[in-house]
Amino acid sequence: MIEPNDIDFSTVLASSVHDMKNSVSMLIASLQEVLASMPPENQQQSQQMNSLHYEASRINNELVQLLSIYRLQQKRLPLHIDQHFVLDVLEDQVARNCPLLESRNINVSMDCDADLEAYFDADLVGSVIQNVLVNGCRYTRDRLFLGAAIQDEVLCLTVADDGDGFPEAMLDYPADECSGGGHSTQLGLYFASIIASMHKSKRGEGRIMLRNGAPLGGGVFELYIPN
Amino acid sequence: MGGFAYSNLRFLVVDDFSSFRTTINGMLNSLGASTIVPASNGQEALDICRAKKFDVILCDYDLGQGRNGQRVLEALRHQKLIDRESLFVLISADVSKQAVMAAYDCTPDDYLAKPINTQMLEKRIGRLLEVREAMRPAYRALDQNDAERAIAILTRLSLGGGRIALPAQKFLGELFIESGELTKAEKLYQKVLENKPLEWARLGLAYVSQARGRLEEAGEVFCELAEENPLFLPAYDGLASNWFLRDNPAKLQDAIAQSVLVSPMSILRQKNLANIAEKNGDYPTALKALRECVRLGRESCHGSWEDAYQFGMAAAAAPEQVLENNRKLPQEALDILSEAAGHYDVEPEELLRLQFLQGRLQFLAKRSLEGRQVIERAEQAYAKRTQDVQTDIARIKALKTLGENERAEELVHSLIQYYAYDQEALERLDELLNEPVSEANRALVAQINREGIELYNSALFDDAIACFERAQLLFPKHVGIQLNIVQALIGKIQSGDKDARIKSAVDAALKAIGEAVDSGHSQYARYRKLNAMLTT
Repeated sequence: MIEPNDIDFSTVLASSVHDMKNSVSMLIASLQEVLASMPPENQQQSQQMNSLHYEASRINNELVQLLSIYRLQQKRLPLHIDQHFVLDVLEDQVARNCPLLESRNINVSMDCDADLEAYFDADLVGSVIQNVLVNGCRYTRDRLFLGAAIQDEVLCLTVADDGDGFPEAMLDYPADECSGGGHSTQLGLYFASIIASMHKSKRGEGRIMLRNGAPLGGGVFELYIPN
Repeated sequence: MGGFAYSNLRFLVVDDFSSFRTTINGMLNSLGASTIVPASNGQEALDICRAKKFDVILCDYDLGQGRNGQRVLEALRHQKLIDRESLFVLISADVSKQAVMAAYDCTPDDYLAKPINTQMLEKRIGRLLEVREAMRPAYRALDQNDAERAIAILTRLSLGGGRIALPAQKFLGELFIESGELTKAEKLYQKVLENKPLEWARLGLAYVSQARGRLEEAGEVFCELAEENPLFLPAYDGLASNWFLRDNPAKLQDAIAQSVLVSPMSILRQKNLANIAEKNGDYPTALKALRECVRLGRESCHGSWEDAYQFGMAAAAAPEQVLENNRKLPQEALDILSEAAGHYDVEPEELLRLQFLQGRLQFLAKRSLEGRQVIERAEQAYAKRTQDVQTDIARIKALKTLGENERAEELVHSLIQYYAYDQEALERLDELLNEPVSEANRALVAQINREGIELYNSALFDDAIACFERAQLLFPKHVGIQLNIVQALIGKIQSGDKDARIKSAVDAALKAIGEAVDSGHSQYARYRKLNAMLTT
């Protein structure tokens, strides 16, 4: 007889998160099919569809992150560093979120050299950018900016919006992890900073930074990866 | 990018849900594609690919009943229904790309996580096609067995920069090693490593060291790579090749076992594990791996009734303590065999050895009467057939199981005459014998013995014993090998080792040898001599 206390909660949670994640993926796929076969008839319907799609994407992202953190703990999320075209990774994330961006009428601009190459784990870094992008859709007015550049052998990936910017308390992240700000678990930021710090080189360890201002005047998320 | 005329490309879309096929169809249409063939399951996909060639195959991982997407890819490649020029993209709702990719033998060209949209499809397919177009001349050269031209093309691509350079470099490195251009391979990898310690380049360099005979150095790198990234399968495969070359069957088994842990759905790795574990006398591991082979084989193109046969043979040969832990083993083997006989078409000439095995297993499952009857019926059929060595072995083992040892011995000796000019058959017969008759196995025992004697002469008794024990694993009843072990143990005692267990091991071994040899045996004199050494 298995007692409830014998069960490893994190394992149970992980396998259930895995199922949930697959369900949400199915849900999003069905949603897209519904949209394709029955386009919204009026503004209100289209709004409702958008918010369905957006919330489902957010749940999806959150579950992916939970699962990744679990795998990280189990040492089953090894870093796989290779040489990549940075533009590919950014474009992939924009493409993945295209339906969402279009439905919200968000204009994405990009500043990344077509032949900028760098060393990093494309899957992990891609998932960080994806998460920040989806989050940005919520807080921006109508513009998002993605940028990438290498300076002093450190790759800097930027995601910026033209919203009201991060609340003051969040700007210290991760130095002041507990402040929370009340409106978010900050799981996404925690995940991002872990992925960043997994990337190491003689130039030091990767990190993230939050600030407000240029280029669009709203919140700016920066991911630094030493190369 | 984006400059591809989708209208000229042929797509195959495999998914068990028609709505998903329709969605993908719509996306491809909007990109300008017009040749889009749907398939609703793996079998259909294989049948379609037999008749037609495709540029891009988009296949869902989960195809409901029957083969999954990975098994479809495995079959397509194994049956050569697709070549390097066809792109296979696996689509899955699973988040962990690495987990899905690593679990099997085959790697798809790309992996897309659901949900999918047109833009994503366009970007990914565009990039894949760009690389394929650039590589096509090199693939064609290889198909014509013109490695030299392929190398020239890839060299140009890898120096040209852009998106093609990296895949061209990776491919080029492998080609260099394959064609023995070790210095060039070394230079290529070293140049990459000057910038960053990338896994694939470290792996390649380790293979270069290995090809140059620097086995320990290569082994260390394979080990490091596996430790740093426990999901990096090529590291375990490298490690396995390394222990194989270093002739260390125990470590070889460890390396394959590790790769099986990462890649549990890989039937080929399970088969390797079963074979090496059986050679090492590790029946529990061999049986477990064979059980997996049988299970995975139902959906895999690498499945065959021979997996069930091998399981049965291993179950019937398993030592008593293995059977003690699992009394149901013979019955399990019988069930597996009858299921396999129903699932696969067993050739009539192979049925006989299956029957001998079934009889043996029934005998071991404590249905001795039935078992005896089955074997006797097989004996009658045997008399009417042309001989083949596998059936002969199955027959002799069945007779031994029935306790008819003398008759079995007689048969073995007449078989040695019968197959006198067939080295392959003799090698197979060796497993029934105390000492090898085949040239290959004789040479093997001779070589291991030589190594052992050298170690013994250098007073490295433990190493010498380990060496002889390896030979003993191959031929457990080989008197010469047994005496070598005894002699090395005595050497250990004489060098001052006072461990009482050595003495008792020597006593036990000599007692067993004494029962096996009589004064007519070629090793009798040596046995007497060693016995005398011990008493003085």
